Amino acid sequence: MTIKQTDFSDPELTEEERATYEWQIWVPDFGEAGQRRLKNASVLVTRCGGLGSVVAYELAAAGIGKLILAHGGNVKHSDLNRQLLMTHAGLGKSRVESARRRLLELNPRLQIETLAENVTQQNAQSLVSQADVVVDCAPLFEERLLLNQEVVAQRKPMVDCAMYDMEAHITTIIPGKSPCLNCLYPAPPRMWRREFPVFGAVSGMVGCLGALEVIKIIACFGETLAGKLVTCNLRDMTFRTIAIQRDPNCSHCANLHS
Amino acid sequence: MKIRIHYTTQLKSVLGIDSEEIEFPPGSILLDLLRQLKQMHPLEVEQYIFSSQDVLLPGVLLCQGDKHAGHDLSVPLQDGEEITLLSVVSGG
Repeated sequence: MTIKQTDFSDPELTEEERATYEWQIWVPDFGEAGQRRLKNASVLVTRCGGLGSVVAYELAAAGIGKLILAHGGNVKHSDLNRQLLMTHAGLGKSRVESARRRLLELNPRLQIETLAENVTQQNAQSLVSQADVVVDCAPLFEERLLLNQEVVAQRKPMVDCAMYDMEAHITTIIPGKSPCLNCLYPAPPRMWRREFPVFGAVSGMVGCLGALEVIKIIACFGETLAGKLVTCNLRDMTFRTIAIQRDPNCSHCANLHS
Repeated sequence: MKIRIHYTTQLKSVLGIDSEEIEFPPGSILLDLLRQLKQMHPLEVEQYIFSSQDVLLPGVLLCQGDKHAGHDLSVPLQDGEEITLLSVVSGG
C-alpha cells in the first residue's frame, strides 16, 4: 500500500541541505521532492531508548524538519548498551536533554521539542496533535495502547516497532485503512515484564526499519507496512511478513473508513 | 495430518520449545489445535494463550502460514500447514 498524502507543503532546500542530502536525493522515487517533504514534516518519537534513539538519529540524519521527543527520567548505566543518544558523560542527567544534544551535533538545522515525561493519559492528545507521524517505541503496552487511541482519534499514521531478546516486530498503522493496535491486542498481554533481554543491535535494527517507514510515509514512495506485520528472528535470521487484518468489532477504529 | 506449531518471543521461554509437530485427524479446525495444546501444556496455555472459556488471550496472535487468523477459530487446518502463536512484545 502506497500512502499518498497531500498536506505537506514543500519548502525549498538550501544549498547546504542539497549538499548534505545529495546521496539520498539520488534514491529513485524520493528525489528533491521527497527531501522537501521531510524538511516540512514533524515526527513524534515516544521514548528515546534502544529503539527510539535510533529512530530519532536516522530521521535527524535524513533531514526531518522537526522531532518531538517524549521520554522521562535520567540516564542510567543500564541504558548505555543500546540507547545511542545517551552518553557516559550524561549519566544522571535528563535523557531528553542528552538526546537533544546528540541530535543537534548531527543536524544543527533540526527543530526539536522535548518533553521529559513518558506518554500518559494527560499528555498523549497534545503530543500526537503536534506531529504528522508518530513512532511508538515505548516499553510498556499501556503507553502503546494510549498512543494508538490518539492516532486513531486524530487519524495520524503511526509506526509501531518493538523487540524482545533476539526478535523484533514492526507494523504501520494507517487509521481507517490498516489494523490498529487495538485490533491486534485490546489489552496488554499477561506475560510482558518491564525489563527484557536486549542487545542494542537488535533494537537498533528495528529502529532503522521504523525510521525508513516514516521516510516512506512522509515522502510518499515505496510500500509501507500498513496491513502487514514483519517479524524478525535475529537468532537464525528469519524474516517473515504476516498479513494482519482489522477487527470489524474494534472499539477504536471499526467505524473509520479509508 | 501433521501440523507444525511455532512459538515466538516469550512463549518460547514459557513453553521451553520453539516449535512442535502434532498429528490431527482430517477435518480439524484451529479450535481443535488450541484445545489440543491446552491438553499438552495445560498450565502455560491457560495462563498465557487460550483461556478455559476457549478464548485467545490478549497479546497472542494466531497465524496460519503468513496470515493472521484473527478470532475465527473455525478455519480448517490443512495437512503440512505451519501455525504460529505469536506473542506481541513491547521492548524498546
